[in-house]
Amino acid sequence: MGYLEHIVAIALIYAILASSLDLVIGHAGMFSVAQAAFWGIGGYATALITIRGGTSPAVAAAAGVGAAAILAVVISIPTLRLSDEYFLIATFAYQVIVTGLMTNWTTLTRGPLGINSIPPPFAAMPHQFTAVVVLAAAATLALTWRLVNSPYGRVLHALREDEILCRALGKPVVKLKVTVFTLSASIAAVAGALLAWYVTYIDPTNFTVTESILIVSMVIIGGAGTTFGPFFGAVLLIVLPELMRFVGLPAAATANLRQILYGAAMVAMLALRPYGLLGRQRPAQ
Amino acid sequence: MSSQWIADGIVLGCSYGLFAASMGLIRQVARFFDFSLAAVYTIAAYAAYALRRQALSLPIAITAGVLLAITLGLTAHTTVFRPLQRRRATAEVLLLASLGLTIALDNAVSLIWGDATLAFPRLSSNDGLLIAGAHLTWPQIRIVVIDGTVGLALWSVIRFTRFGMLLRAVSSDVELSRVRGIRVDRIISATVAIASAIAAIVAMNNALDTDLVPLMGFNLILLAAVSLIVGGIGSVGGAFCGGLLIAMTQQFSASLLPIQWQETIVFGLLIGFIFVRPTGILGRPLPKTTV
Repeated sequence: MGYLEHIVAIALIYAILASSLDLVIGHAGMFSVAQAAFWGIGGYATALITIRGGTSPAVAAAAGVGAAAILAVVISIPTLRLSDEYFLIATFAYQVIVTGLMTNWTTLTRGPLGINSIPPPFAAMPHQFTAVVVLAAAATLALTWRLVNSPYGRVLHALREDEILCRALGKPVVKLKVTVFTLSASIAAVAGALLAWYVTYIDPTNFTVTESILIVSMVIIGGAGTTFGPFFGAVLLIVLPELMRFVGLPAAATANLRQILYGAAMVAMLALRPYGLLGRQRPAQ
Repeated sequence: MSSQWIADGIVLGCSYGLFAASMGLIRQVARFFDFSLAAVYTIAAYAAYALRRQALSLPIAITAGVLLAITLGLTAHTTVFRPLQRRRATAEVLLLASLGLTIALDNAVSLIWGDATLAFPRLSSNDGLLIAGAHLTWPQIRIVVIDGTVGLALWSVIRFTRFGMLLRAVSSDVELSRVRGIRVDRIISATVAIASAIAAIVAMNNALDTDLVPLMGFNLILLAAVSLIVGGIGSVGGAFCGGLLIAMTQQFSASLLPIQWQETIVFGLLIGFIFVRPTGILGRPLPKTTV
Protein backbone atom coordinates (compact mmCIF):
# COMPACT_ATOMS: atom_id res chain seq x y z
CA MET A 1 0.00 0.00 0.00
CA GLY A 2 2.85 2.37 0.85
CA TYR A 3 4.39 2.10 -2.60
CA LEU A 4 1.12 2.83 -4.36
CA GLU A 5 0.47 5.86 -2.16
CA HIS A 6 3.96 7.13 -2.88
CA ILE A 7 3.42 6.91 -6.65
CA VAL A 8 0.06 8.69 -6.31
CA ALA A 9 1.62 11.51 -4.28
CA ILE A 10 4.55 12.01 -6.67
CA ALA A 11 2.35 11.79 -9.77
CA LEU A 12 -0.04 14.38 -8.34
CA ILE A 13 2.77 16.78 -7.39
CA TYR A 14 3.90 16.62 -11.03
CA ALA A 15 0.28 17.00 -12.12
CA ILE A 16 0.08 20.27 -10.14
CA LEU A 17 3.27 21.45 -11.84
CA ALA A 18 2.05 20.49 -15.31
CA SER A 19 -1.34 22.14 -14.77
CA SER A 20 0.28 25.34 -13.57
CA LEU A 21 2.72 25.37 -16.48
CA ASP A 22 -0.15 24.81 -18.89
CA LEU A 23 -1.57 28.22 -17.91
CA VAL A 24 1.58 29.74 -19.42
CA ILE A 25 2.22 27.37 -22.34
CA GLY A 26 -1.22 26.19 -23.34
CA HIS A 27 -3.39 29.17 -22.54
CA ALA A 28 -1.08 32.16 -22.91
CA GLY A 29 1.15 30.61 -25.61
CA MET A 30 4.46 31.42 -23.89
CA PHE A 31 7.00 28.58 -23.73
CA SER A 32 8.76 28.62 -20.37
CA VAL A 33 11.37 26.07 -19.28
CA ALA A 34 11.78 27.50 -15.78
CA GLN A 35 8.97 25.73 -13.94
CA ALA A 36 11.36 23.55 -11.94
CA ALA A 37 13.15 26.71 -10.77
CA PHE A 38 9.96 28.06 -9.17
CA TRP A 39 9.19 24.59 -7.84
CA GLY A 40 12.64 24.56 -6.23
CA ILE A 41 12.30 28.07 -4.82
CA GLY A 42 9.05 26.99 -3.13
CA GLY A 43 10.69 23.87 -1.74
CA TYR A 44 13.91 25.51 -0.59
CA ALA A 45 12.18 28.54 0.93
CA THR A 46 9.77 26.32 2.87
CA ALA A 47 12.58 24.13 4.17
CA LEU A 48 15.05 26.91 5.00
CA ILE A 49 12.57 29.29 6.64
CA THR A 50 11.19 26.49 8.81
CA ILE A 51 14.60 25.18 9.86
CA ARG A 52 16.62 28.39 10.10
CA GLY A 53 13.84 30.87 10.90
CA GLY A 54 11.98 28.61 13.30
CA THR A 55 8.60 29.63 11.94
CA SER A 56 5.75 27.21 11.47
CA PRO A 57 5.85 25.22 8.21
CA ALA A 58 2.64 26.80 6.90
CA VAL A 59 4.03 30.34 7.32
CA ALA A 60 7.26 29.21 5.66
CA ALA A 61 5.35 27.77 2.71
CA ALA A 62 3.40 31.03 2.33
CA ALA A 63 6.70 32.93 2.36
CA GLY A 64 8.04 30.52 -0.27
CA VAL A 65 5.07 31.14 -2.53
CA GLY A 66 5.53 34.88 -1.98
CA ALA A 67 9.22 34.64 -2.89
CA ALA A 68 8.46 32.72 -6.09
CA ALA A 69 5.73 35.22 -7.01
CA ILE A 70 7.98 38.25 -6.46
CA LEU A 71 10.78 36.66 -8.49
CA ALA A 72 8.31 35.79 -11.25
CA VAL A 73 7.13 39.41 -11.45
CA VAL A 74 10.66 40.80 -11.40
CA ILE A 75 12.02 38.50 -14.11
CA SER A 76 8.94 38.45 -16.29
CA ILE A 77 8.52 42.19 -16.83
CA PRO A 78 11.70 42.67 -18.88
CA THR A 79 11.56 39.14 -20.34
CA LEU A 80 8.09 39.60 -21.79
CA ARG A 81 9.38 42.24 -24.18
CA LEU A 82 11.28 39.48 -25.97
CA SER A 83 10.07 37.51 -28.95
CA ASP A 84 8.71 34.03 -28.18
CA GLU A 85 11.91 32.21 -29.05
CA TYR A 86 14.06 34.48 -26.90
CA PHE A 87 11.53 34.23 -24.08
CA LEU A 88 12.14 30.47 -24.03
CA ILE A 89 15.91 30.97 -24.02
CA ALA A 90 15.71 33.56 -21.24
CA THR A 91 13.65 31.19 -19.06
CA PHE A 92 16.23 28.49 -19.80
CA ALA A 93 18.92 30.86 -18.53
CA TYR A 94 16.94 31.67 -15.36
CA GLN A 95 16.55 27.96 -14.73
CA VAL A 96 20.30 27.35 -15.06
CA ILE A 97 21.07 30.31 -12.78
CA VAL A 98 18.63 29.18 -10.07
CA THR A 99 20.00 25.61 -10.16
CA GLY A 100 23.51 27.10 -9.96
CA LEU A 101 22.58 29.10 -6.86
CA MET A 102 21.03 26.05 -5.20
CA THR A 103 24.14 24.01 -5.92
CA ASN A 104 26.85 26.56 -5.18
CA TRP A 105 25.51 28.94 -2.55
CA THR A 106 26.49 26.34 0.02
CA THR A 107 26.30 28.60 3.08
CA LEU A 108 22.59 29.02 2.46
CA THR A 109 21.53 25.79 0.75
CA ARG A 110 24.21 23.27 1.80
CA GLY A 111 24.73 22.78 -1.94
CA PRO A 112 24.67 19.23 -3.34
CA LEU A 113 24.21 17.81 0.17
CA GLY A 114 20.66 19.06 0.11
CA ILE A 115 18.46 19.78 3.10
CA ASN A 116 17.19 16.90 5.19
CA SER A 117 14.76 16.46 8.10
CA ILE A 118 12.38 19.09 6.82
CA PRO A 119 9.63 19.34 9.45
CA PRO A 120 6.13 18.72 8.07
CA PRO A 121 3.24 21.03 8.98
CA PHE A 122 1.63 18.36 11.16
CA ALA A 123 2.71 14.99 12.46
CA ALA A 124 0.90 12.64 10.16
CA MET A 125 0.99 9.24 8.62
CA PRO A 126 2.15 8.97 4.98
CA HIS A 127 -1.34 8.28 3.73
CA GLN A 128 -2.57 11.50 5.28
CA PHE A 129 0.08 13.33 3.26
CA THR A 130 -1.18 11.63 0.16
CA ALA A 131 -4.63 12.95 1.05
CA VAL A 132 -3.22 16.49 1.36
CA VAL A 133 -1.58 16.17 -2.06
CA VAL A 134 -4.83 14.87 -3.54
CA LEU A 135 -6.67 17.90 -2.13
CA ALA A 136 -4.03 20.30 -3.46
CA ALA A 137 -4.17 18.70 -6.90
CA ALA A 138 -7.97 18.92 -6.95
CA ALA A 139 -7.79 22.56 -5.89
CA THR A 140 -5.27 23.31 -8.66
CA LEU A 141 -7.45 21.66 -11.25
CA ALA A 142 -10.54 23.55 -10.02
CA LEU A 143 -8.63 26.86 -10.03
CA THR A 144 -7.24 26.45 -13.54
CA TRP A 145 -10.60 25.24 -14.84
CA ARG A 146 -12.38 28.23 -13.34
CA LEU A 147 -9.69 30.61 -14.57
CA VAL A 148 -9.52 29.53 -18.19
CA ASN A 149 -13.30 29.56 -18.50
CA SER A 150 -13.54 33.10 -17.14
CA PRO A 151 -13.34 36.38 -19.09
CA TYR A 152 -9.68 36.49 -18.04
CA GLY A 153 -9.12 33.09 -19.67
CA ARG A 154 -10.81 34.20 -22.86
CA VAL A 155 -8.51 37.20 -23.17
CA LEU A 156 -5.55 34.88 -22.54
CA HIS A 157 -6.68 32.70 -25.44
CA ALA A 158 -7.06 35.76 -27.64
CA LEU A 159 -3.52 36.74 -26.67
CA ARG A 160 -2.24 33.29 -27.59
CA GLU A 161 -3.88 33.38 -31.00
CA ASP A 162 -3.06 36.96 -31.99
CA GLU A 163 -1.07 39.31 -29.81
CA ILE A 164 -1.18 42.22 -32.22
CA LEU A 165 -4.97 42.02 -32.46
CA CYS A 166 -5.13 41.92 -28.67
CA ARG A 167 -3.08 45.09 -28.42
CA ALA A 168 -5.24 46.75 -31.06
CA LEU A 169 -8.33 45.94 -28.98
CA GLY A 170 -6.72 47.74 -26.05
CA LYS A 171 -6.16 44.65 -23.92
CA PRO A 172 -3.43 45.05 -21.29
CA VAL A 173 -1.13 42.46 -22.87
CA VAL A 174 1.89 42.90 -20.60
CA LYS A 175 -0.26 42.87 -17.45
CA LEU A 176 -1.95 39.66 -18.60
CA LYS A 177 1.35 37.95 -19.32
CA VAL A 178 2.89 39.01 -16.00
CA THR A 179 -0.14 37.90 -13.97
CA VAL A 180 -0.44 34.50 -15.63
CA PHE A 181 3.31 33.85 -15.36
CA THR A 182 3.28 34.85 -11.68
CA LEU A 183 0.23 32.75 -10.88
CA SER A 184 1.82 29.76 -12.56
CA ALA A 185 5.06 30.28 -10.60
CA SER A 186 3.13 30.56 -7.32
CA ILE A 187 1.31 27.28 -7.89
CA ALA A 188 4.65 25.64 -8.71
CA ALA A 189 6.02 26.96 -5.40
CA VAL A 190 3.10 25.30 -3.57
CA ALA A 191 4.10 22.05 -5.26
CA GLY A 192 7.64 22.70 -3.97
CA ALA A 193 6.40 22.99 -0.38
CA LEU A 194 4.40 19.77 -0.82
CA LEU A 195 7.48 17.94 -2.10
CA ALA A 196 9.64 19.23 0.76
CA TRP A 197 7.07 18.10 3.35
CA TYR A 198 6.36 14.81 1.71
CA VAL A 199 9.91 13.64 0.99
CA THR A 200 11.45 15.65 3.92
CA TYR A 201 14.66 15.90 1.88
CA ILE A 202 15.44 18.08 -1.14
CA ASP A 203 18.61 18.69 -3.12
CA PRO A 204 19.41 20.67 -6.30
CA THR A 205 19.02 17.64 -8.59
CA ASN A 206 15.26 17.72 -7.92
CA PHE A 207 15.00 21.06 -9.69
CA THR A 208 17.24 21.00 -12.77
CA VAL A 209 16.54 22.06 -16.34
CA THR A 210 15.90 18.39 -17.19
CA GLU A 211 12.99 18.46 -14.73
CA SER A 212 11.69 21.62 -16.38
CA ILE A 213 11.81 19.95 -19.78
CA LEU A 214 10.06 16.92 -18.30
CA ILE A 215 7.23 19.15 -17.05
CA VAL A 216 6.98 20.76 -20.51
CA SER A 217 6.77 17.32 -22.11
CA MET A 218 3.95 16.39 -19.70
CA VAL A 219 2.03 19.44 -20.88
CA ILE A 220 2.63 18.67 -24.54
CA ILE A 221 1.92 14.95 -24.31
CA GLY A 222 -1.31 15.50 -22.40
CA GLY A 223 -2.41 18.34 -24.63
CA ALA A 224 -1.48 21.99 -24.11
CA GLY A 225 -4.41 24.23 -23.30
CA THR A 226 -6.83 21.44 -22.43
CA THR A 227 -6.82 21.79 -18.58
CA PHE A 228 -7.16 18.05 -17.96
CA GLY A 229 -4.59 17.03 -20.58
CA PRO A 230 -1.42 18.14 -18.73
CA PHE A 231 -2.76 16.58 -15.53
CA PHE A 232 -3.25 13.32 -17.38
CA GLY A 233 0.14 13.67 -19.12
CA ALA A 234 1.90 14.04 -15.77
CA VAL A 235 0.23 10.98 -14.26
CA LEU A 236 1.00 8.98 -17.39
CA LEU A 237 4.70 9.96 -17.51
CA ILE A 238 5.20 9.12 -13.84
CA VAL A 239 3.23 5.88 -13.77
CA LEU A 240 4.41 4.36 -17.08
CA PRO A 241 8.12 4.16 -16.16
CA GLU A 242 7.16 2.58 -12.84
CA LEU A 243 5.86 -0.39 -14.80
CA MET A 244 9.42 -0.95 -16.03
CA ARG A 245 10.42 -1.84 -12.48
CA PHE A 246 8.33 -4.95 -12.68
CA VAL A 247 10.06 -6.13 -15.84
CA GLY A 248 13.22 -6.55 -13.80
CA LEU A 249 15.63 -4.23 -15.63
CA PRO A 250 18.76 -3.02 -13.84
CA ALA A 251 18.27 0.32 -12.06
CA ALA A 252 20.77 2.24 -14.21
CA ALA A 253 19.10 1.09 -17.42
CA THR A 254 15.70 2.06 -16.02
CA ALA A 255 16.85 5.63 -15.41
CA ASN A 256 18.09 5.92 -19.00
CA LEU A 257 15.01 4.26 -20.48
CA ARG A 258 12.81 6.64 -18.52
CA GLN A 259 14.58 9.67 -20.01
CA ILE A 260 14.48 8.11 -23.50
CA LEU A 261 10.74 7.61 -23.06
CA TYR A 262 10.21 11.24 -21.98
CA GLY A 263 12.24 12.67 -24.83
CA ALA A 264 10.97 10.38 -27.57
CA ALA A 265 7.34 10.70 -26.44
CA MET A 266 7.55 14.49 -26.60
CA VAL A 267 9.13 14.47 -30.07
CA ALA A 268 6.62 11.91 -31.36
CA MET A 269 3.73 13.90 -29.92
CA LEU A 270 4.93 17.20 -31.40
CA ALA A 271 5.42 15.55 -34.77
CA LEU A 272 2.33 13.33 -34.94
CA ARG A 273 -0.30 14.80 -32.64
CA PRO A 274 0.72 18.34 -31.65
CA TYR A 275 -2.58 18.96 -29.87
CA GLY A 276 -1.80 16.19 -27.36
CA LEU A 277 -3.57 13.09 -26.17
CA LEU A 278 -6.64 14.88 -24.80
CA GLY A 279 -6.62 17.79 -27.23
CA ARG A 280 -8.77 18.22 -30.29
CA GLN A 281 -7.32 19.48 -33.52
CA ARG A 282 -7.93 23.18 -33.89
CA PRO A 283 -9.34 24.33 -37.22
CA ALA A 284 -6.63 25.38 -39.65
CA GLN A 285 -6.02 29.10 -39.64
CA MET B 1 50.18 33.20 -14.72
CA SER B 2 47.62 35.30 -16.52
CA SER B 3 49.01 34.38 -19.94
CA GLN B 4 48.11 30.77 -19.13
CA TRP B 5 44.43 31.48 -18.60
CA ILE B 6 44.31 33.65 -21.71
CA ALA B 7 45.82 30.78 -23.73
CA ASP B 8 43.38 28.28 -22.24
CA GLY B 9 40.57 30.72 -22.99
CA ILE B 10 41.59 30.91 -26.65
CA VAL B 11 41.54 27.10 -26.91
CA LEU B 12 38.09 26.89 -25.32
CA GLY B 13 36.85 29.88 -27.29
CA CYS B 14 37.75 28.23 -30.60
CA SER B 15 35.65 25.16 -29.88
CA TYR B 16 32.73 27.22 -28.52
CA GLY B 17 33.01 29.52 -31.52
CA LEU B 18 33.06 26.81 -34.18
CA PHE B 19 30.22 24.87 -32.53
CA ALA B 20 28.26 28.12 -32.24
CA ALA B 21 28.91 28.82 -35.92
CA SER B 22 27.44 25.45 -36.89
CA MET B 23 24.38 26.09 -34.73
CA GLY B 24 24.13 29.56 -36.27
CA LEU B 25 24.14 28.08 -39.79
CA ILE B 26 21.04 26.01 -39.02
CA ARG B 27 19.42 28.93 -37.22
CA GLN B 28 19.92 31.07 -40.33
CA VAL B 29 18.30 28.80 -42.90
CA ALA B 30 15.94 26.60 -40.83
CA ARG B 31 15.14 29.43 -38.38
CA PHE B 32 15.33 27.67 -35.04
CA PHE B 33 17.96 26.86 -32.42
CA ASP B 34 18.71 23.21 -33.13
CA PHE B 35 19.88 21.61 -29.87
CA SER B 36 19.95 18.15 -31.48
CA LEU B 37 23.42 19.12 -32.76
CA ALA B 38 24.49 18.23 -29.21
CA ALA B 39 23.45 14.60 -29.77
CA VAL B 40 25.12 14.60 -33.19
CA TYR B 41 28.31 15.81 -31.48
CA THR B 42 28.21 13.17 -28.73
CA ILE B 43 27.32 10.26 -30.99
CA ALA B 44 30.03 11.16 -33.51
CA ALA B 45 32.66 11.15 -30.77
CA TYR B 46 31.45 7.86 -29.25
CA ALA B 47 31.24 6.18 -32.66
CA ALA B 48 34.81 7.18 -33.48
CA TYR B 49 35.88 5.95 -30.05
CA ALA B 50 34.15 2.59 -30.55
CA LEU B 51 35.75 2.11 -33.97
CA ARG B 52 39.15 3.08 -32.63
CA ARG B 53 38.73 0.44 -29.92
CA GLN B 54 38.14 -2.07 -32.72
CA ALA B 55 41.72 -1.24 -33.75
CA LEU B 56 40.77 0.77 -36.80
CA SER B 57 43.19 3.56 -37.64
CA LEU B 58 42.33 6.99 -36.24
CA PRO B 59 41.69 8.72 -39.62
CA ILE B 60 39.20 5.99 -40.58
CA ALA B 61 37.46 6.21 -37.19
CA ILE B 62 37.21 9.99 -37.45
CA THR B 63 35.93 9.88 -41.04
CA ALA B 64 33.30 7.33 -40.05
CA GLY B 65 32.27 9.53 -37.11
CA VAL B 66 31.87 12.56 -39.37
CA LEU B 67 29.84 10.58 -41.91
CA LEU B 68 27.61 9.22 -39.15
CA ALA B 69 27.09 12.76 -37.86
CA ILE B 70 25.98 13.94 -41.30
CA THR B 71 23.58 10.99 -41.64
CA LEU B 72 22.16 11.58 -38.19
CA GLY B 73 21.68 15.32 -38.74
CA LEU B 74 19.97 14.78 -42.08
CA THR B 75 17.75 12.02 -40.68
CA ALA B 76 16.63 14.20 -37.78
CA HIS B 77 15.80 17.03 -40.15
CA THR B 78 13.92 14.98 -42.71
CA THR B 79 11.95 12.86 -40.21
CA VAL B 80 11.27 15.34 -37.41
CA PHE B 81 11.98 18.97 -38.16
CA ARG B 82 10.90 19.26 -41.81
CA PRO B 83 7.44 17.73 -41.20
CA LEU B 84 7.04 20.09 -38.24
CA GLN B 85 7.98 23.07 -40.40
CA ARG B 86 5.58 21.98 -43.13
CA ARG B 87 2.85 22.28 -40.52
CA ARG B 88 4.10 25.77 -39.67
CA ALA B 89 5.27 24.85 -36.18
CA THR B 90 6.78 27.83 -34.38
CA ALA B 91 10.48 28.21 -33.60
CA GLU B 92 9.80 27.38 -29.92
CA VAL B 93 8.11 24.09 -30.82
CA LEU B 94 11.06 23.15 -33.05
CA LEU B 95 13.49 24.06 -30.27
CA LEU B 96 11.57 21.89 -27.81
CA ALA B 97 11.47 18.99 -30.25
CA SER B 98 15.25 19.27 -30.71
CA LEU B 99 15.70 19.27 -26.91
CA GLY B 100 13.50 16.17 -26.59
CA LEU B 101 15.48 14.42 -29.31
CA THR B 102 18.77 15.30 -27.59
CA ILE B 103 17.59 13.96 -24.23
CA ALA B 104 16.49 10.68 -25.83
CA LEU B 105 19.70 10.22 -27.85
CA ASP B 106 22.07 11.24 -25.01
CA ASN B 107 20.42 8.67 -22.79
CA ALA B 108 20.76 6.06 -25.52
CA VAL B 109 24.51 6.81 -25.53
CA SER B 110 24.60 6.46 -21.75
CA LEU B 111 22.67 3.18 -22.01
CA ILE B 112 25.13 1.73 -24.54
CA TRP B 113 28.46 3.02 -23.21
CA GLY B 114 27.64 3.85 -19.59
CA ASP B 115 28.17 7.12 -17.72
CA ALA B 116 31.83 6.51 -16.94
CA THR B 117 34.44 8.77 -18.49
CA LEU B 118 36.09 7.21 -21.56
CA ALA B 119 39.23 8.38 -23.30
CA PHE B 120 40.91 7.81 -26.67
CA PRO B 121 44.29 6.15 -26.48
CA ARG B 122 46.71 9.07 -26.26
CA LEU B 123 48.13 10.13 -29.59
CA SER B 124 51.18 11.92 -28.35
CA SER B 125 52.67 12.84 -25.05
CA ASN B 126 51.19 15.83 -23.34
CA ASP B 127 54.26 17.97 -23.70
CA GLY B 128 53.59 20.80 -26.07
CA LEU B 129 54.82 24.28 -26.69
CA LEU B 130 55.62 27.16 -24.43
CA ILE B 131 54.13 30.27 -26.05
CA ALA B 132 54.62 33.62 -24.32
CA GLY B 133 54.82 31.99 -20.93
CA ALA B 134 51.74 29.80 -21.48
CA HIS B 135 52.00 26.06 -21.83
CA LEU B 136 49.81 24.51 -24.53
CA THR B 137 49.61 20.76 -25.13
CA TRP B 138 49.62 19.38 -28.67
CA PRO B 139 45.90 18.47 -28.57
CA GLN B 140 45.15 22.05 -27.50
CA ILE B 141 47.22 23.46 -30.35
CA ARG B 142 45.43 21.12 -32.72
CA ILE B 143 42.07 22.49 -31.50
CA VAL B 144 43.10 26.08 -32.22
CA VAL B 145 44.58 25.26 -35.65
CA ILE B 146 41.85 22.93 -36.92
CA ASP B 147 38.84 24.75 -35.45
CA GLY B 148 40.24 28.07 -36.61
CA THR B 149 40.94 26.77 -40.13
CA VAL B 150 37.50 25.18 -40.44
CA GLY B 151 35.93 28.44 -39.24
CA LEU B 152 37.88 30.39 -41.85
CA ALA B 153 36.92 27.89 -44.56
CA LEU B 154 33.27 28.17 -43.56
CA TRP B 155 33.46 31.94 -43.72
CA SER B 156 34.98 31.81 -47.23
CA VAL B 157 32.35 29.34 -48.44
CA ILE B 158 29.54 31.59 -47.22
CA ARG B 159 31.24 34.72 -48.55
CA PHE B 160 32.58 33.63 -51.93
CA THR B 161 30.85 30.55 -53.34
CA ARG B 162 27.59 30.12 -55.20
CA PHE B 163 26.32 27.87 -52.40
CA GLY B 164 27.14 30.60 -49.91
CA MET B 165 25.11 33.06 -51.93
CA LEU B 166 22.12 30.69 -52.01
CA LEU B 167 22.47 30.16 -48.27
CA ARG B 168 22.44 33.89 -47.65
CA ALA B 169 19.42 34.26 -49.94
CA VAL B 170 17.43 31.63 -48.01
CA SER B 171 18.58 33.17 -44.77
CA SER B 172 17.33 36.59 -45.79
CA ASP B 173 13.94 35.61 -47.24
CA VAL B 174 12.60 32.09 -47.74
CA GLU B 175 9.53 33.07 -49.77
CA LEU B 176 11.47 35.29 -52.13
CA SER B 177 14.09 32.55 -52.57
CA ARG B 178 11.35 30.11 -53.56
CA VAL B 179 9.96 32.61 -56.02
CA ARG B 180 13.40 32.95 -57.58
CA GLY B 181 13.54 29.17 -58.07
CA ILE B 182 15.97 28.32 -55.28
CA ARG B 183 15.35 24.82 -53.95
CA VAL B 184 15.06 25.85 -50.34
CA ASP B 185 14.79 22.31 -48.90
CA ARG B 186 17.98 21.33 -50.68
CA ILE B 187 19.85 24.34 -49.32
CA ILE B 188 18.60 23.52 -45.82
CA SER B 189 19.71 19.88 -46.17
CA ALA B 190 23.14 20.92 -47.40
CA THR B 191 23.46 23.37 -44.52
CA VAL B 192 22.44 20.72 -41.99
CA ALA B 193 25.02 18.33 -43.46
CA ILE B 194 27.76 20.95 -43.18
CA ALA B 195 26.73 21.93 -39.64
CA SER B 196 26.65 18.28 -38.53
CA ALA B 197 30.08 17.62 -40.04
CA ILE B 198 31.47 20.67 -38.24
CA ALA B 199 29.89 19.55 -34.96
CA ALA B 200 31.62 16.19 -35.43
CA ILE B 201 34.98 17.85 -36.11
CA VAL B 202 34.68 19.93 -32.92
CA ALA B 203 33.73 16.74 -31.08
CA MET B 204 36.75 14.77 -32.36
CA ASN B 205 39.15 17.55 -31.40
CA ASN B 206 37.73 17.90 -27.91
CA ALA B 207 37.47 14.15 -27.35
CA LEU B 208 41.12 13.71 -28.32
CA ASP B 209 42.10 16.52 -25.95
CA THR B 210 40.06 15.51 -22.90
CA ASP B 211 37.62 12.60 -22.74
CA LEU B 212 34.10 11.38 -23.48
CA VAL B 213 31.00 11.53 -21.28
CA PRO B 214 27.37 11.19 -22.46
CA LEU B 215 26.61 14.83 -21.56
CA MET B 216 29.63 16.24 -23.44
CA GLY B 217 27.51 17.54 -26.29
CA PHE B 218 24.73 18.96 -24.15
CA ASN B 219 27.13 20.81 -21.86
CA LEU B 220 28.99 22.28 -24.81
CA ILE B 221 25.92 23.28 -26.81
CA LEU B 222 24.62 25.35 -23.89
CA LEU B 223 27.84 27.37 -24.00
CA ALA B 224 27.74 27.44 -27.82
CA ALA B 225 24.16 28.76 -27.76
CA VAL B 226 25.16 31.48 -25.31
CA SER B 227 28.19 32.30 -27.51
CA LEU B 228 25.97 32.50 -30.57
CA ILE B 229 23.50 34.93 -29.01
CA VAL B 230 26.19 37.02 -27.34
CA GLY B 231 28.33 37.15 -30.49
CA GLY B 232 25.50 37.75 -32.90
CA ILE B 233 23.61 35.35 -35.15
CA GLY B 234 24.32 35.48 -38.84
CA SER B 235 28.08 35.47 -39.15
CA VAL B 236 30.93 33.09 -38.47
CA GLY B 237 32.94 35.99 -37.07
CA GLY B 238 30.17 36.79 -34.60
CA ALA B 239 30.06 33.18 -33.38
CA PHE B 240 33.83 33.14 -32.80
CA CYS B 241 33.70 36.56 -31.08
CA GLY B 242 30.99 35.23 -28.76
CA GLY B 243 32.87 31.99 -28.16
CA LEU B 244 36.04 33.84 -27.19
CA LEU B 245 34.15 36.27 -24.96
CA ILE B 246 32.36 33.44 -23.14
CA ALA B 247 35.55 31.42 -22.74
CA MET B 248 37.46 34.44 -21.45
CA THR B 249 34.63 35.27 -19.04
CA GLN B 250 34.79 31.70 -17.73
CA GLN B 251 38.55 31.78 -17.36
CA PHE B 252 38.53 35.19 -15.72
CA SER B 253 35.73 34.31 -13.30
CA ALA B 254 37.56 31.09 -12.42
CA SER B 255 40.53 33.18 -11.36
CA LEU B 256 38.32 35.12 -8.92
CA LEU B 257 35.59 32.69 -7.79
CA PRO B 258 35.37 28.94 -7.26
CA ILE B 259 35.14 27.20 -10.62
CA GLN B 260 31.57 25.91 -10.16
CA TRP B 261 30.18 29.46 -10.45
CA GLN B 262 31.18 29.62 -14.16
CA GLU B 263 27.84 28.40 -15.47
CA THR B 264 25.84 30.84 -13.36
CA ILE B 265 28.03 33.75 -14.47
CA VAL B 266 27.87 32.79 -18.16
CA PHE B 267 24.09 32.55 -18.09
CA GLY B 268 23.91 35.83 -16.18
CA LEU B 269 25.92 37.38 -19.03
CA LEU B 270 23.44 35.87 -21.51
CA ILE B 271 20.51 37.48 -19.68
CA GLY B 272 22.33 40.81 -19.74
CA PHE B 273 22.91 40.55 -23.49
CA ILE B 274 19.33 39.46 -24.23
CA PHE B 275 18.02 42.60 -22.55
CA VAL B 276 20.62 45.16 -23.55
CA ARG B 277 21.81 43.98 -26.96
CA PRO B 278 19.74 41.02 -28.18
CA THR B 279 21.41 41.11 -31.61
CA GLY B 280 24.80 40.36 -30.05
CA ILE B 281 28.17 42.01 -30.54
CA LEU B 282 28.38 41.67 -34.33
CA GLY B 283 24.70 41.11 -35.06
CA ARG B 284 22.71 43.14 -37.51
CA PRO B 285 19.56 44.89 -36.27
CA LEU B 286 16.52 42.61 -36.13
CA PRO B 287 14.15 43.00 -39.06
CA LYS B 288 10.98 44.87 -38.27
CA THR B 289 7.98 42.66 -37.65
CA THR B 290 5.83 42.19 -40.73
CA VAL B 291 2.15 41.51 -40.34
